[in-house]
Amino acid sequence: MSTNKLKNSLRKSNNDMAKQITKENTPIINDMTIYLKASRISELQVEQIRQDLLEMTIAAEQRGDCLKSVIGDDYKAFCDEIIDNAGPKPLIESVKESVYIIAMSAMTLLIIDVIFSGFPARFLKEGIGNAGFDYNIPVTLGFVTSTVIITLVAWLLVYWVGKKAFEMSRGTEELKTKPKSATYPKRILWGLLVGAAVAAFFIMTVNFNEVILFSVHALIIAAVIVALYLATRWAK
Amino acid sequence: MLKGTLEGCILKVISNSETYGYEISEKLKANGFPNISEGTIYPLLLRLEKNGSIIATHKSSPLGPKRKYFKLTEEGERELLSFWDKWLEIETAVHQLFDRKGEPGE
Repeated sequence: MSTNKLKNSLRKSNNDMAKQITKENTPIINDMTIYLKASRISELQVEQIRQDLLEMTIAAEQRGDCLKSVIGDDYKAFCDEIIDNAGPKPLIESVKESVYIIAMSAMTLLIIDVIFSGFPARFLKEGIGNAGFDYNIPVTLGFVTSTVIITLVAWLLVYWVGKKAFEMSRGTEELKTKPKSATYPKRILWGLLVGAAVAAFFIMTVNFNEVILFSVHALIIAAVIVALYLATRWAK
Repeated sequence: MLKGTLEGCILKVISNSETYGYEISEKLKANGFPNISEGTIYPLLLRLEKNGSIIATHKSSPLGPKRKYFKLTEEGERELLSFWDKWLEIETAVHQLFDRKGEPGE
């Protein structure tokens, strides 16, 4: 069985096994899995470790032991110990992960950009049966910068959520104990910051869309989309 | 050094018979190792598996989920012998140091 098939089959059986653990232990195992996924361990090994942790948890529940008595109460330290002792992911897997993220983002954004460039509508209206139709599509500075920014933000967000899995769960639990009004200033500040960042991004993209870097024939863009799709298939 | 000692003792427990994580921790506890849980030894089992000292097989258990059973490889047997030799050396050195009563610092 290929590594990919093995990983998917293990993930499926782990998802089934995860349904057997108690509501109290589910978020703990989920946080540990997210944290391990953001580490340097290979995806297959994360699933193998998840299988061990689930088996350990179910066995502990059947003995009437709490999870803390099995793995201690510092789940992050326990995971760090696991990461230290498990092998790092092979270089090819790190390369594939990066290729997948970059190719998938670039392909999606390129398709969106082609649609919003007005080319498909122009082609349907004027291009059919017209030998002199201009097949060139402009590639703007707005497209290039937004692709780079969106890919980077998505990448950093996934990494950050993984690294902060335990802190975020603790924060959510703490929020439940506080009155809602006490959390308003922090929420408003975060909302304003995210809103300002999104607004700045859109203003910049709209302005940069005026700057045409070069024009490319639609068939070349179609070939790039196919190449990016094949790259995602190879990397997944 | 403590981690190495625990690893050596885990190898010894596994060398006696094919066994699983919880049973290893219980055997260590029964032999006087304090505060040892399945979680304490799990990262060490991962490392021993990665180094090729032990191999794991998933087997059905009479109750509950499958269990991961470990057994020693030839490399593991060599590791165990090497640990025991080193341990005897350390034990002798520590005894020598502590048995020289009235000669502090020597």
